[in-house]
Amino acid sequence: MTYPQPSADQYAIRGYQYFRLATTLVSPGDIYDSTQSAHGFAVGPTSDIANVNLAYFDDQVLPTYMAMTTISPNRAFVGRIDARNDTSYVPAGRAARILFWPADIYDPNYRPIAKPAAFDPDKDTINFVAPQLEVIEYFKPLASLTPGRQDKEFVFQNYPALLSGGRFFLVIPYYGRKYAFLNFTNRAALTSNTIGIVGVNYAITQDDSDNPYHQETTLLTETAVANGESIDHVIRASQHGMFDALVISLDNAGPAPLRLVTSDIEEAT
Amino acid sequence: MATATTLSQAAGQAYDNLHIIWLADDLPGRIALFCQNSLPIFPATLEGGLPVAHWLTVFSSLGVTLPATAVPIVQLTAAAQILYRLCWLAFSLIGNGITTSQATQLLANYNTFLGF
Repeated sequence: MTYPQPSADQYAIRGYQYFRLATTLVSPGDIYDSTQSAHGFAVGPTSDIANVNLAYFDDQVLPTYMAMTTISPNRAFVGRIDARNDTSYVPAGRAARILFWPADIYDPNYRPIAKPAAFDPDKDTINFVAPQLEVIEYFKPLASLTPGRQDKEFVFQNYPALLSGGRFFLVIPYYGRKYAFLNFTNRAALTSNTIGIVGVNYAITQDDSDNPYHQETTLLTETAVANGESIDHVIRASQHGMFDALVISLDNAGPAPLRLVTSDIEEAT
Repeated sequence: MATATTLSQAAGQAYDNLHIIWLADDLPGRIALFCQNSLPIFPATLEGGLPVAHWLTVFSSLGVTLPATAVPIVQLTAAAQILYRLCWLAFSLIGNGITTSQATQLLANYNTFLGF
């Protein structure tokens, strides 16, 4: 998001009955506000971020008047949520707008620590698919809300040119997802392409230190795929766990079509 | 750990620094001092700094709800996450919403009240 953010006021004035904030995260600290009271909040269908924190005015929450809750793909919030521009949160003394921000951590400065290998800035390249945040604020009373995120499909084919021995790391958001299917085909004329997948849970850490705290789990050990050959791989929450991001490593610029489908619903084996 | 030289470094050290304060049972007091001294840097009349002020508002509210001593460890995590995001946002807004001077003052407050 480039600030200033879109204003919820315009959506209320024009009778939209909702304010939809859809933005790509720029920094791990992105935060948004609304000066309009709401009758419901939900995570939008295209959101990569799974959990969103809300802070709002509640005069029974003493001494701050700030109530907080979290919405997710499984749980929207239905009911009156106040923005009170005429009064303030305590002790800050700032207008009691509704504030919301991703509860999930995003770290665009992450670099692989050990899996499949430590990032080598002289030879390796990394590219992030920045997470999309979509939050919908409803201005009219709702009987209920059925939230849920759509399955997401990520498609790639050609990659950065690499020095000998280098890797290309592709970081794809996976917050709260329970299932992924990867289909990879090496269409290079002669050479093999080695693919690996690591699941990452971000930590609050100093990325340029010798010992960053992020957690890495190998989901697919690096496997050489011969030219003309394909590999499929399935990741399930019940079997492999849940991660903030999937990191796909390759050692060849391709062409190598890669299709990754992620879902909140774990497909049966 | 050392004094942070940039707000991005301050963000990365957020959990480690608050951990030391938490062990010393001084988390609510330090958060209050940091917020009290930092909020005036981002007045409500200057829109560019509002997102940083939002974080300071949330952080100060959390601070006054903490018990004076024996703060639960989940609250340490909550405080660290807010401070991490606050510092990152301020870092990303330098020249694009807040001035270098504002960022410098915020970093100075961080090092005075929360850093080591």
